[in-house]
Amino acid sequence: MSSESRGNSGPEHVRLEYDRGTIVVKGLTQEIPPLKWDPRAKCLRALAYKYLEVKRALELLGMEFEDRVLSPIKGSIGTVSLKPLRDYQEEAVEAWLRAGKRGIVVLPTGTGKTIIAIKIIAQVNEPTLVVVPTLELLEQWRLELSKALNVNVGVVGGGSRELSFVTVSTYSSAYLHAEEMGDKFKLLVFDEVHHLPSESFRQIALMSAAPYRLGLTATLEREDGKHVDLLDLVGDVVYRKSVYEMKSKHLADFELVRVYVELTDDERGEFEKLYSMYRDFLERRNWRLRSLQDFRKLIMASGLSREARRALMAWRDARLLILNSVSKLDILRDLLRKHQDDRILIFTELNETVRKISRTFLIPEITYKTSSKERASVMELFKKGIYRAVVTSRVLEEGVDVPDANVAIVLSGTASRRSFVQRLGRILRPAPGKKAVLYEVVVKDTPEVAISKRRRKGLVGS
Amino acid sequence: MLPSELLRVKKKGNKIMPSFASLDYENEYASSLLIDVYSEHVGKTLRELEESVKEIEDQLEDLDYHPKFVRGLIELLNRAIVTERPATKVPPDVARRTVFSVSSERGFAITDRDRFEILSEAACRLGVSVEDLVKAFEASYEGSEVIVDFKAPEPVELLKQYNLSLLQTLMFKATSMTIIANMTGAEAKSLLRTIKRFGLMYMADKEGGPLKIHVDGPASILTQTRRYGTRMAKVLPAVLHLKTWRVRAEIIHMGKRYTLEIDERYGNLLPSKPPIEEEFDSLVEEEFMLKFRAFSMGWDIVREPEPLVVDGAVFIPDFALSKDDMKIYLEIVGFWTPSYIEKKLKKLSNVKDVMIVAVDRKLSCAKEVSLSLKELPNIKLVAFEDKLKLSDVLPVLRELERRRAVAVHEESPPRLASEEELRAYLSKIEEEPLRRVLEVLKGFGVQDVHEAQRILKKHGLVIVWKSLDQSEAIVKRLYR
Repeated sequence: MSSESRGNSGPEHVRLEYDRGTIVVKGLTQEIPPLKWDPRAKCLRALAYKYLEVKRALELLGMEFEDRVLSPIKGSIGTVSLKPLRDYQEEAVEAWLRAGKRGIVVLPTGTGKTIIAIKIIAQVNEPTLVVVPTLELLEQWRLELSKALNVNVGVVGGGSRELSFVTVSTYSSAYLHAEEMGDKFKLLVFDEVHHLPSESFRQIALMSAAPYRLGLTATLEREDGKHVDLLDLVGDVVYRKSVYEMKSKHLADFELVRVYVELTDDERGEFEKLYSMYRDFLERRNWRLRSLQDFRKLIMASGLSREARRALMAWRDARLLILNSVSKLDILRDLLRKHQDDRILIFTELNETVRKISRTFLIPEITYKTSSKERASVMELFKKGIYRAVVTSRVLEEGVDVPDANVAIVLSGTASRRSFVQRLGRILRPAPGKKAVLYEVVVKDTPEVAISKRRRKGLVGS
Repeated sequence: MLPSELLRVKKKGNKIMPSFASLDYENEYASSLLIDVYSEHVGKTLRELEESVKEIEDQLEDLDYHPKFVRGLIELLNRAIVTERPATKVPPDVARRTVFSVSSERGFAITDRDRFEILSEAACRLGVSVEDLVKAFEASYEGSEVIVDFKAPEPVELLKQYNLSLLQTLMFKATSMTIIANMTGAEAKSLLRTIKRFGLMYMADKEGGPLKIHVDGPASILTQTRRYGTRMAKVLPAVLHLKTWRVRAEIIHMGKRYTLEIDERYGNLLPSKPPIEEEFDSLVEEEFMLKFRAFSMGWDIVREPEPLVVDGAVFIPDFALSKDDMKIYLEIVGFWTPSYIEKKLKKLSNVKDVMIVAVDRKLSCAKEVSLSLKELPNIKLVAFEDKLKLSDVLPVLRELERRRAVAVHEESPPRLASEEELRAYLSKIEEEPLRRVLEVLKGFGVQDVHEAQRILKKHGLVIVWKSLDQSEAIVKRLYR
């Protein structure tokens, strides 16, 4: 559309406004990047995260304009009660402030990333939205923020939709309500920021006009390589320390024990049968499964041919058989007996296995199906020591504070480096004289051996 | 709407279509088989239902039904059941908390003996039997819920519901959609309201043909996003009941771009929605319409007529008034500010037809009301108080009639030779400008209005004065 047909473009007064995840500029028709002409609303438009860029562009042209973009939630934080920061935490805060109040802090689990964020929120003292991956973390952040900052913390997620000067939300709720929340905060804090670059979650960052942004993570890299987009969405890495730079100085010492078990004869026979069914199918098709994409191909094919479906079922059953091997439960029995006075976290891949262990040993479970009320109750009783063990699938992987756990038992898992490091992190919260153990139970002569090796690559010598 | 893993599509080049279930005997059989299983399980537990459903599912798969189709029907039926937690002696969460606490104290249920001791101790603490304790403990697991109600659909209806869900699930992946349809003003209004309610935006187009509405979201022009797909899927049912419709959507599926095109010919595969009822935006409109109809003077009134497109936006005037080949629109404005009116007038000046804009004087946001806005050639601004009265609008209609009459006849007013012809002429008059009647009567030697009045009276006609200006007066029939 040519500028003539845009109607009256006289010396009208230029105004910036927020519109559902975007910024619109009224009273101007010239397409100054990053602004684009929107014929639907007859105004210029840009994604909300371009707010500062738009302002700078207009200022550079010496243009006068009225800025009505932000409607920040009014308020202030209360009296701050934070214990003194450690050196590296102080350094991280400084680095972020120096970088123009934007950027990412990469630190191993258990090194107090939350404290860094709280310190930053206190210092900036502007309406803040903290985005976290799970409901557990939501509750944990809410408690810590309200205690340290003396404020009523708003919650968006898990059925709640209360906005406050300081608000915590899950990634999924923040994505759903991105349009309504994009003009209400000036500081965004992304916990476990490696989640942000996914196709949907990135919109939380894109549709917000908040100028200040902080990302926190222990493992920045994503398998799909999309972590490079974080530079645009949140900012550069402003501070980084690895597990090995931190170990023993700020973290509890830990020991890694791998336990091999064997399938029973019956199980072995059944496993070979199922596994060869699956392998034969792949050989017939001349397929080799090397990556997740390859595996998706198989799942796709299973929608088309019955043969592929059977192969997929065989693979699933073989996997279930390994996961639920009697020998693993026997080892678990031994380990539970051995650690009579410890706090134990048991990790296993499938919800069915979680359920089985919970019922067999009468240990509380947490899966994604567990209601938030029951989760909170289980976590609370575990912290108090009334429950000595919790069995879980993937829910507890990220950042949930389980300070007193000192034994982790991984009964099975994926080859993903991140989830392994994070599970390990659960038992690494520093405590005087604390010695933590991580058991990894692997079935011999099955694909699990290779998975376990891949998993540990992330730790050894990185 | 279905989970995305149950989506089934057909692709051909860059075209994509949902794999609709045909309404044939085979599919109806599968549908009714499943509905029956659900009906039979009212009063039983969810776990029992799931087991029976699994059996049917396997059977159907052996009969070569597509597993995703079967799963899709099950998914929809699961939404039609109502469940309740079974009654227990102690609340399930209390039972669990007690069992787990005792278990932690005693070093877990490592042997069967440990297990028995833990359960006995927990039962003792709660004062119930071990059996009741175990029942309560198990009750919180999914599957133990009891089905208390099931609203059984007709087998064909379930298939139609499945097809709609399939179409909507594909729409989740849409980046934009275009609705092409013939619709009445009321239908267009309701559709646009739905589009806006979901936070979507549109651009309209109507070049002679049907109305074309391109729908996407605020951020769509800036970034290729499927964010609005779910909402577009929700708009879809509002299109299906139209008489003729076509929907085109741009879809991103498995990283590739496709076009989905579907029209009313698929309507029989999809559920039909009852047509929307007439709703009035305000009482003013409703009252005006009733009054106008009662005193029509040969004018037809249509509320929310066929939509007009003004500069990319759909505009539906409140009324269209028509008589012979004359058409005029009437728009009633409630709350307003001078700048709002100005904007509206500017927008409406693009409409080719004459438009009356009626403004409520009392509902102005400004205390001092001055309608000194300059009128645009095609727009008549009318101010009213409280209610829009016929007399507020009639002069404009008359003026229009007069102008038309001038254009059509006035150069040659009927030349009447005999009294016979005059009588015939007068007996036909229902309403006619006085000016024209006088012109005719002049030919018969009638020189002034008083004389004319006498003659007219004999023919059941009266002169109605609108003002002191004779040229505005009209001749009207009083009786026949």
